[in-house]
Amino acid sequence: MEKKPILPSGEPIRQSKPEALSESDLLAMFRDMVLIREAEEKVQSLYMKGLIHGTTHLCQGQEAVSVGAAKALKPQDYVTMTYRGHGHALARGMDVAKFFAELMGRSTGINKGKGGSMHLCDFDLNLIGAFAIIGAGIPVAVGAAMSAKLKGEDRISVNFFGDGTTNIGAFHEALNMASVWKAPVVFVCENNIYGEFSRIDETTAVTRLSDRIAAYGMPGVTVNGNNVIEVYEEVKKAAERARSGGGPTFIECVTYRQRGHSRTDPAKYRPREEVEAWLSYDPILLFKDWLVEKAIATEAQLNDLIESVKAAVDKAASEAEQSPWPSLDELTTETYA
Amino acid sequence: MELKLPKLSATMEEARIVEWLKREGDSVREGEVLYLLETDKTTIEVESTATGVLRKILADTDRPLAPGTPVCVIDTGDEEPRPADGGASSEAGASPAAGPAPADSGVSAAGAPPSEVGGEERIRISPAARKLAMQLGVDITKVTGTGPQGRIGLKDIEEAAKRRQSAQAEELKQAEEPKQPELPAANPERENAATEPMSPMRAAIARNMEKSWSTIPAFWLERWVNAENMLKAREVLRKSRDEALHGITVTDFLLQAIGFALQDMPDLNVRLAGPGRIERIGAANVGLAISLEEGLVAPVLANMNRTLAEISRARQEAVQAARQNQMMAKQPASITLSNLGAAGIDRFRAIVKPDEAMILAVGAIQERVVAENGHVVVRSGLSLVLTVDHRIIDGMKAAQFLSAICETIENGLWKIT
Amino acid sequence: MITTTYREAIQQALADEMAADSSVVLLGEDIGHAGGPFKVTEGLYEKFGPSRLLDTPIAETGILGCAVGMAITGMRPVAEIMFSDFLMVCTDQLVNNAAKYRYMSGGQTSVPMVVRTSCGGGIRFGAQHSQVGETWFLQFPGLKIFAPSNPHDAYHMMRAAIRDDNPVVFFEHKAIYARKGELDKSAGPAEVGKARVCREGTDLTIVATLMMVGRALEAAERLEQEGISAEVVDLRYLRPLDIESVIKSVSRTHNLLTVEENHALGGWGAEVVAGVVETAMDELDSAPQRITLPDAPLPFSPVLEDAAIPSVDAIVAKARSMLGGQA
Repeated sequence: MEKKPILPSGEPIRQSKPEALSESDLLAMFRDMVLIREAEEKVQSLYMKGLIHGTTHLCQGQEAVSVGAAKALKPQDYVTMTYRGHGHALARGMDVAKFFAELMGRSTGINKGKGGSMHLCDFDLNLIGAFAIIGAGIPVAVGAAMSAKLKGEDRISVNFFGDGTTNIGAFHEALNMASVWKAPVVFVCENNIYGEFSRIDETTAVTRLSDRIAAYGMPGVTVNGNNVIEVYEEVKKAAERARSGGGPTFIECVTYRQRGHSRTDPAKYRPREEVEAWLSYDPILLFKDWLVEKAIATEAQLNDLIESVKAAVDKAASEAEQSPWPSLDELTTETYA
Repeated sequence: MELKLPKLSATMEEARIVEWLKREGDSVREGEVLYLLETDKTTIEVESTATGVLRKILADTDRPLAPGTPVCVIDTGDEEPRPADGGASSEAGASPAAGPAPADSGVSAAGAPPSEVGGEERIRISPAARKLAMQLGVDITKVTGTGPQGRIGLKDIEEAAKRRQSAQAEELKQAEEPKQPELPAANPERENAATEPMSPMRAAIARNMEKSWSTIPAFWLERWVNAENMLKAREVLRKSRDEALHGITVTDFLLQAIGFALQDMPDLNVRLAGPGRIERIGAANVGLAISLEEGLVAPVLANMNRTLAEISRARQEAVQAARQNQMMAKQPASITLSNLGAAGIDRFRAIVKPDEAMILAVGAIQERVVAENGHVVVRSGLSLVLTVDHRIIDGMKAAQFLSAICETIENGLWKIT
Repeated sequence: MITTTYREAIQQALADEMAADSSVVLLGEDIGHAGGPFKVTEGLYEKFGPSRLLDTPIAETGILGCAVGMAITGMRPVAEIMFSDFLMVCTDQLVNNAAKYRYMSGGQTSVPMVVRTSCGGGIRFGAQHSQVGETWFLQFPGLKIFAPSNPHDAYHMMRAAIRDDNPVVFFEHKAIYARKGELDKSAGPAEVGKARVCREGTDLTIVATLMMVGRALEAAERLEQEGISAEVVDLRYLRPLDIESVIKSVSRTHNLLTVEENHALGGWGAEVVAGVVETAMDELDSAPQRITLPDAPLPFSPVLEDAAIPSVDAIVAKARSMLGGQA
């Protein structure tokens, strides 16, 4: 029996240009969204060619969350995420060739080939963890926040996770602790309506996730996750709140993944009308329209940007493909400090 | 019921079963002919002395058997069937008196690593006890275990070694005693002299040397060989860029010369393998006498027809192992090398090891005045004395063998790497 | 040299480390105001305050996850899991995060955290509060497992655990918190991964940890009177496990007995026996034996619990039978 489709709002980006963002900031955001999209498409094709191994969880369609949130943060802020983390990693500035190399298991990968797609991290960028087990990263993010707080640093912790995570025990424990301790953390929930292959209304009692947050004594807000400006503004607010000692915030970003749960999932469990509606409600196209409308760039300039990103992605992927495999001597190294 | 080979005459020492006329599983009546036996005089039919079913034939045809050797088992139905100890049979059949003793490694300290007799029940022994037995030369087939299910433990080995020591001390004491009457009665030092038991290594050497001396009819061949080419070669190796070659000694050269001779004359690479039987060794193995503080060991080095570098390495390992009292894997050999040159000996005769056929005794390198082509010259050389067991090897062959060794040394026909 | 209890020795180690390094922070249930459920952290809150001791809600996964997050961002957290049985609630954070973090990140970070936990039986707390658990985490490279048996080791090993840049699970046996012993503070630092021969002997090696060490020593005293000289080896560390020391001991005594408060299947005794047989089989004069818990959950009734946990009598009897030719 076909499920009733859950449709997007269809609203374009109506916000005015945020004061804190310059035109070049905005163009950089556009570029980053395109980078994520092109990189994920590349990952897909590399996977089909057998160059990327195991499994991988793509985020096409969710670029506005990654980029909008990343722009709202400072370089010293800690970022943690889940196995669907390519977008957050690239938005944070991870080297694209090292990104591809890690997925290919090469020694030049960001984790020397030892972690893979689900465990990307780059401590130089304060990208401190990607967790493959649902919920495992949330208390870690709280711990990182407490570390900053106890040391009196101007630093917050931002944690990305999905809608399915809000049902696991660790989520509950971590949000409660963060609230009790007033930890400087921002919880960004990418609600793409599906937890693996199950739609949210099949697994979750309260489907508007921000409604559950009152139970933790912190503000919870729902935003349009495909509107990069809206995401940016909400995360900025929450970040400032945390920075000033106001404690944690929960932001639910409603969005949609254009592909399946993982590379091997053709996602036939989603109603066709729903998929088509969301595919046309593409966050990159929304942003492109807004940039042109606000006269921040022309269509042609943006298309050129897209082409140059495509070329950069190709180059990075090819560089990664040439790079060497880890030596067997490294099999047991870096287990102990 | 076990039937044994009958002693058919006072002088009968051994005989061979030519043919079994009954098969396992056949019924047999007392008086029926069981098998044909060939003695040194004639072939006769041997009758069964029991009625029943021939359960197991224990002695194969065509092997020399001594009278009294069990030849078969007949199930007469009146008694517990004897467990057919398969293995004990045919081996034991080959004359228990002259079979190669398990402790046949000659003079090495671990003189008696007695292997479990094939086919019999496994000997239950703890690993630590097995290791100690090897070190002390205790025959585990003769030890009773007091551990669980009769397992032999450390305690049992220690007891056995103590008992053997005191038994040996007794023997030696008794061997000495006849001599005592010959000594002047007024020799108080002798009467009050403190004695002590021999160390296990010493006792093993004593046993083996006595056996060699009393059973091997030996003859000796002597040659003096010009060693100048060998010494030159050694000098060159000492200066080689390859440091591995610096440690090559005269002993290594000699081992190779013997190895090559064995390779070229395989008829001499033999040893006794029981009465009337000869074993061909196959590989150019050579034993090496190694002097230790506590005595002497002579492990066998395998394949001495290799390069000098490899021989040197093997020799050094063997010396190291000997000094650390470690057991090395046993190999058969027809000849051992004994080099007393370092001690300044001109020339000596060595004693053949009881499980080998020859031994080469080497003296010190000395300058000698020799005649060459009518002129008097001085040459550096050394003495070689080959002792040979005349039961297995004759004079001419042995002489050719010794010549081959000398040729290699004199003409410098080495294989370095 | 001072006489102190196992509990106080740990307390002092925590206090000394916290005083020396401001990045050392404690977190756990009731560890702050209340001084800890077993009074191990008593007095520390008064000394160091709420910025160094964080009282947490009852949330084991949250506690350990927090500790991981602190550890990878420059702190040295010491998290308490009240009963070692509860480690099973938050094992994910310990083995999938803490143990593997450094490796999966390609060496970009390390996780210098300590998980302290009170373990062990004999106090009638029933099946869910009486396990030791020292052996559960043997399977995870990246972790270290410490298990002191006396005040002196408890002090030095706690300090070493905090100094260690790797995640350490630190087992404290709750039944011996009050046990007294000599502590020489200057005799540090502890040699991580080194077992200790706490009684020399020539006939039998007894290997034990935690509360079993005391029982093995008592057994050795009794055996001495029967003419059996037992050597007792306190493993102290399960990861890394010092099999070398056990082999050295067995090379002298030729007989091996392990005593543990774990079940036989998967207990560390099997590891020790395997390690000795693998490389030193020739030293054994008898089959190595293990004394373990029976194959059932721990019972509540005192009569049953006392029969389940290896007693001094059991150790003496086993040793006698081994050396009397029954092993």
